[in-house]
Amino acid sequence: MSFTENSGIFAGAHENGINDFITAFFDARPRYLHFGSSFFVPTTTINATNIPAISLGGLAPEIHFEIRLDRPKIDLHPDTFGFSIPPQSNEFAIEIQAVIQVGCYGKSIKDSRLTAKKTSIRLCGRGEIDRGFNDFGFTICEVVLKDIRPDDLGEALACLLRQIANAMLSGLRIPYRSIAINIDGSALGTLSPTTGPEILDNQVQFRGNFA
Amino acid sequence: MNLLDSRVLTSYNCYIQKVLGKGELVLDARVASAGFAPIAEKPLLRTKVKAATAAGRRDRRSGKQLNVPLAFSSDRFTITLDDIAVDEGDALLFHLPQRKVPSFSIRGRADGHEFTSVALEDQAVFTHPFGIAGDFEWGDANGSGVGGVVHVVDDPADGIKGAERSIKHMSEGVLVHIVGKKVEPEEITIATGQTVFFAVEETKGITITDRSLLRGLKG
Amino acid sequence: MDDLLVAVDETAATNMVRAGQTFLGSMTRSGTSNIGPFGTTWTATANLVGGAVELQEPDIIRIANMTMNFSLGFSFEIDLSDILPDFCIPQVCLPIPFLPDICTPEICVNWPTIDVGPINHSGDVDVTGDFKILTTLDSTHWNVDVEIVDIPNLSLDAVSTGIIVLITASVALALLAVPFIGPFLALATGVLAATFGVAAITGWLGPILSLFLAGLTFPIYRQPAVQEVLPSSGPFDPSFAIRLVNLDASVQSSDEDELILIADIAPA
Repeated sequence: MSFTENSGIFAGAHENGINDFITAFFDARPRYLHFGSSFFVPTTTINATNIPAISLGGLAPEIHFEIRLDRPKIDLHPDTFGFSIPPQSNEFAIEIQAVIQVGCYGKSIKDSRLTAKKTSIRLCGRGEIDRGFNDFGFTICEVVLKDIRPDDLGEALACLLRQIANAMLSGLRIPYRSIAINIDGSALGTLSPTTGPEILDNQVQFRGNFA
Repeated sequence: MNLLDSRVLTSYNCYIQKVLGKGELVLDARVASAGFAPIAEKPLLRTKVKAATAAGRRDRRSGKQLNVPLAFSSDRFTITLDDIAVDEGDALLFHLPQRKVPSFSIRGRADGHEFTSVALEDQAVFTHPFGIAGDFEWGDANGSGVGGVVHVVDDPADGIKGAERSIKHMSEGVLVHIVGKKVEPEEITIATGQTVFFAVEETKGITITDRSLLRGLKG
Repeated sequence: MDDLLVAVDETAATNMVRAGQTFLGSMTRSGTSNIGPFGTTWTATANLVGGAVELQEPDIIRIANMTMNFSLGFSFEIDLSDILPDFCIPQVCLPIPFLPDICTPEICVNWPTIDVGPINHSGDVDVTGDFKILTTLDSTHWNVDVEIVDIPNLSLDAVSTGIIVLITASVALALLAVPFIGPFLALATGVLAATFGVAAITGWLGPILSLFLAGLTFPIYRQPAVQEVLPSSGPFDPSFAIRLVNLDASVQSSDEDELILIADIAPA
């Protein structure tokens, strides 16, 4: 069976290549791995993203916090790396180590010093390709936090961290032409996928034609 | 080159001059462009001219043809004869058979009579074979106004017989007789390869020159 | 497993070949060579268009019935003394009114060397060739080129016939200007027509056009080794790039023939 089938082009990126894209992205834009309110990240730079503190409507000082994530690694279906939550058909699996700090005021109402309280947690997740017109990205659909009790606390935190993890991944959009090593252009016309991208055989694959 | 210009003699041309004086004959040959230079101190030939008899002087056509062979080597012209027995009234025929050498002119003197090939004056002949078909108008570069036309027409030369006929035709010469300012005939038609003899008398010194070389000059 | 694998079908491969032919553009060569005994000086320009593309395992692209458009300008000299017999104008005798009969000597003719041309001719010839896929990395770019495997035979008889017509006309024009050639014109024309036959012209033209085919190479893929994935989108979001390493190209056949490019990538 041919690669292209009824299309003009087939392109496939193996999970090793996808993880190389991920490494290159977060090396260039590390602020997507580091979010913090002004106590922790006074202003947005290449290295960190400033986010608002949690406001209490003026009734008490704002709550300051910081989240640092390790560069993620993903596993395209079928399972290769043995993550806790293996990828299902047309899915990827992801594991991320996160360090969370919260700014705590003193026990007395007169004590306005903030000290940071740190904890770390491991996210296990799975997700799907997010198809765009010219590019694609990754969206985490489910995060599971192990060993958090009661279960509903774990579920609530997992929901929170899933949204933060998707913010981390939001900037990572890979153009189809990059997977196709820029083989399009004036010779072939503009590349338009006709099938995919989908996850199959440890690859992100798509087929397309040239306009 | 087969250009018609009596000032520039090539291996195609002959210059014939009747010896009109007696006493000493002096001859010089030089490149055509030096045609008007005086005779060199050491001319190519000096010889005595034997005087004509009274009968000989009465008959314009008495006398004999004497060929004066020329050669060119080591950047100079030579007359390849040590001596020549010349009588008054003889016709000296000058020809340079070598090809790929400079074109030449002749200057000489017999008794007081000077003559030169670059200005044909009296009892001189310039011969020219016409190698290419066409209409050739000629005139005098010295501005006397003499001139004429030579129509040259290809002989049909199909096959060997035709080629042989054409070559045989080349042995027939045609005369154009110039006396003073009168040209007879002014217009002639010949076959390609035939030779025209331009015979000149009683002029102040004329040239036979293709009109295309005379642009801007009266003549 | 390769990080990236791209396969294109024969239609896409054909378009890549077309782009390469366009990139190659016009090629020009000059030189000297002989037609029979006559040395020619020539300049030729050629380009290649069209052709049916067929992919063949493991690494061949066959391009059938390409059109090589060419234009050719050439000139040559003919030393007529090599083809005409020595000839002398016979002695001419004529009575002159004031001289004895004058006889000129036999005057021998120096047959000149005539210049023929410049002759200009444009035409086209059909070319079919197998091209091998070659992948190289220079200081900045990955290049996939196709290089012709063997110089194909060219059918040139029709082109040669056209050139003979031009040569014949130019030679005739040049001969007419040669003094005294009249009796020998038919002979000269006959000898030269025998020299400028189809086989002689084809034998001369073939090596000239083959120069354009010897080692013929043109690119079908050329991309920088460092490829930008996303451009900068603000002062805090610089561009990011990956580097292609170990790129290779080949042909694979299954139920259709495909051009395959594989590559590994690393952070730039």
